[in-house]
Amino acid sequence: MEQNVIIQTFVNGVMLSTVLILFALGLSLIFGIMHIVNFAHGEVYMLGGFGMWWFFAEERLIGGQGLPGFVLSLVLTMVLVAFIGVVMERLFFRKFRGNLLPGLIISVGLIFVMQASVAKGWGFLDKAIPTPSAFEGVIHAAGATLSKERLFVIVIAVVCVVGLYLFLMRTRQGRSMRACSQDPDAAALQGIGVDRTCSIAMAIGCALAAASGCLAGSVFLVNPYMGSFPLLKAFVAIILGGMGSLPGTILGGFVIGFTESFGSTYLSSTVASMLIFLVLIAVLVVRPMGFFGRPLGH
Amino acid sequence: MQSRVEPLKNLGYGIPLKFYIALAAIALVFLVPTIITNAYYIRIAISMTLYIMLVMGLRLMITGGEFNLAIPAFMAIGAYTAALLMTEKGWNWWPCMIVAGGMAVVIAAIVGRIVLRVKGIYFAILGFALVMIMRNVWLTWPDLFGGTSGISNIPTISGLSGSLDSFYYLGAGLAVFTVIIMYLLDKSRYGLTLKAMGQADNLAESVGVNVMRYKLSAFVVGAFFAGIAGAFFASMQHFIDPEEFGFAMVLFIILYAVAGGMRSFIGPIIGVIVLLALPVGLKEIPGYDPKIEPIIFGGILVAIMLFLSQGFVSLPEKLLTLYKWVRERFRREEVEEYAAT
Amino acid sequence: MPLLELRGLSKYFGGLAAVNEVDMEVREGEIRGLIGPNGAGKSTLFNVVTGFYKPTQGTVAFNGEDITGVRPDIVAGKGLVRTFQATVLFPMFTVMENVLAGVHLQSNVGVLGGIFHPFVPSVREKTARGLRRASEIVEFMGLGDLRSFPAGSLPHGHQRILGVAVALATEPKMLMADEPVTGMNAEETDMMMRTIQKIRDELGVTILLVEHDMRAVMGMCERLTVMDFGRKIAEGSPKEIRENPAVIEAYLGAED
Repeated sequence: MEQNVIIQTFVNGVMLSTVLILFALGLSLIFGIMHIVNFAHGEVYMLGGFGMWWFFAEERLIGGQGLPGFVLSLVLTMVLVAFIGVVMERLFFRKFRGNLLPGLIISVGLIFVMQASVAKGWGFLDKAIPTPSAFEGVIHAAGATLSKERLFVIVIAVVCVVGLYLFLMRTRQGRSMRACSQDPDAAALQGIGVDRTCSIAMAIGCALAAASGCLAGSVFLVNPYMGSFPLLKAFVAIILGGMGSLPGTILGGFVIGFTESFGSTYLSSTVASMLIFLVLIAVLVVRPMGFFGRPLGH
Repeated sequence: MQSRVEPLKNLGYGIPLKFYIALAAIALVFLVPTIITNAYYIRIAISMTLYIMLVMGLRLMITGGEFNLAIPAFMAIGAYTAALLMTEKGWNWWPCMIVAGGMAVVIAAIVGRIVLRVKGIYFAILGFALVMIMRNVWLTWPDLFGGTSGISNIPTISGLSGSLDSFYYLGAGLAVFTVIIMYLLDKSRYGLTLKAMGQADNLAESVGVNVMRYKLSAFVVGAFFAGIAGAFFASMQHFIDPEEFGFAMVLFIILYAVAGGMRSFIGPIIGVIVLLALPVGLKEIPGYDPKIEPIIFGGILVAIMLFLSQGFVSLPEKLLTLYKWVRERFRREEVEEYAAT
Repeated sequence: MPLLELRGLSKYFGGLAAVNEVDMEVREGEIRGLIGPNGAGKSTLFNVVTGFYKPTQGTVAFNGEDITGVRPDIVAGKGLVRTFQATVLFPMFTVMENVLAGVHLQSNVGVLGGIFHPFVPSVREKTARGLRRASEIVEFMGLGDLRSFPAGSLPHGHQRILGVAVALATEPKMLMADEPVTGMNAEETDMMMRTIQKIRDELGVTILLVEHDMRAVMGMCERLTVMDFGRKIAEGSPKEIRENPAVIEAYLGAED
């Protein structure tokens, strides 16, 4: 039924958007506060997916494969990956803060290492993550058949984003981070520990990427090479919304997610991808600062 | 009127000794198949020639101040152009190579004008995007381009005996040609202007340099050699598919160029040779698992960025500095000891 | 006809007028000073005139030709060159190579020229000519002893002189110098000022100078234009300006 397809595509769009937004917010946060473009962010996402697989699919935690197990696995994965992120920041990125191209190059090195390590450890084949029993099946709403799992993913993603918002707006640490992103020197003069703030930004950014990977992994599949897909899409979203602007990233994420969903359904997935990259070129050439960003070089 | 160019570091072709060393190196390059007979090694050498052509294109643009990551897209354009002309129209490889290069040049000239308005990290990301766009172009029209299975049964290069060695000679010839052209450019007034732009583009503009035109020309030259490399690759491998020229290739050219040393002329060449030869050596180690190869490469790149930012070629200089420092320390200790007695 | 003519030139950033309806004429052969408190818009004016910013309103004419909003490299081709307030050089080039890069307009070479360079006599001659010219300029500016030193290793004063040398390499009709003696001690300032005087006297280059150092400005400039808050507030001889109440007000006011 036509209406069914439209609504499913719409919901799919929301899901793809929210999962991408989690990933992109992490990337944007890292860029905004550390002034680093972390190409290995995709591999962090991949680690998230594998964490979910290892904890949840392999039933290594209490709570088995029900909802509690799922949430526990998610949280644990996010924490672990956040920790790995902080180590990465300390060892590799600290030297290149503010130096965009060298930061990119070193993150490329990390891509090699992380992809191959995971492939060596767990093989390169796709792995599936089972759906928590509470969310198997479908519901019927608004005249359409919707997968419960996908709705659940949307809910969790939104919860994470709201959590991030509350953290940045309401806590002192969050305010420090906002200060750092606007002017690190001024922030340092005010007694804000720039090093520590950057570490926390990295931790949160990676936790978000990991969450994104967990959720994407549960809906789709997990393999060591899954990191490259969201990476470029996230860049488009961030640049579209304006680098350094979190609301812009959210807006960009929705544009990309819906383009992908509707593009894949009504055209083809390759055309949808092409459209997304053409959007990137258009934005960079016409309005490089995106919707909400500051003009480059100012 | 005196016409001799006073040799400076960044202009002019240097002492005659360098010329003879270069001649010797080129001779050595062409002697390789007589020294190395293992087919597997020759294949790797052929890969080296291809990557050298790609990496020098990246280097030219880096000299001018931008990171051109779109090179694999132009290799793909060259490869598909040649493949289609040969399989659909039955053309001979040699004219196909010219057309492939020309196609890459034309598309680079058009796309470059748009894409070069953007600078720095954004241009780098755009390079990735172009690579992915081309990959999707091949997939979007499967009737034309063969979709995921690409184009196969590409005929070989006529005039070549068809043996692996003959492919090597051609590849080496193309690579040497590329390097010579790049060297001529680098040491000429053109290269000087490019290097100036790479250091301070506002100053260059203020003295009359049309920065956009120079960037575009570097972009197009890089595309040309990538296109030719693509045509060679297509005929050598007899089949091509969209995944060959994707994300992974971009990462590899970054790896080779940076690890070798982007600032120097031969740096990227050294990077290609060392890092493509490395796996061969590693295989000899008992118990070595080839699957960890990317980990080693990644580790090397990270180590280079952290400790040896000018790449492999700067190693002799750094070691020399280290040696002098150590010698100085010992000398000081000796003097102190002597003074104490 | 004035060499440089600005009419109603304005540059707005958002709602803020950094340059506000400035009219100005610079006569050929004069040494003109452009002064004003910090933030008056002098550097912005330079950027607008030489094409680094596009003006919001108004026109710029050089040597009778309209160059409003024209790209900096084309502006340089017309004979108008500027130096930068910050010390901008090609740090990895030697002094000689820096000036050589500046000779671009007389000896620029494209891809084909670059490839066939050793084989085409006209291209070789072009490059050789460029080298000779660069050598002359290096000597003229008193940098002859330092010609092989990397620009980045030079002391600050010499770096700024090199900046002027690079600009001079374009064989300009007019040189716009943005705070050339910033960060220099008295001796270096004198050296720079004498060099700028020499550039006008021996080479006939018109000079427009932005400077804070009042001694240098009053000593050298034949006429002064004063800016404050983006507007021109006074113009005249150094003596007239020194006694102008609006000017005194602008500077005193800026000291609060």
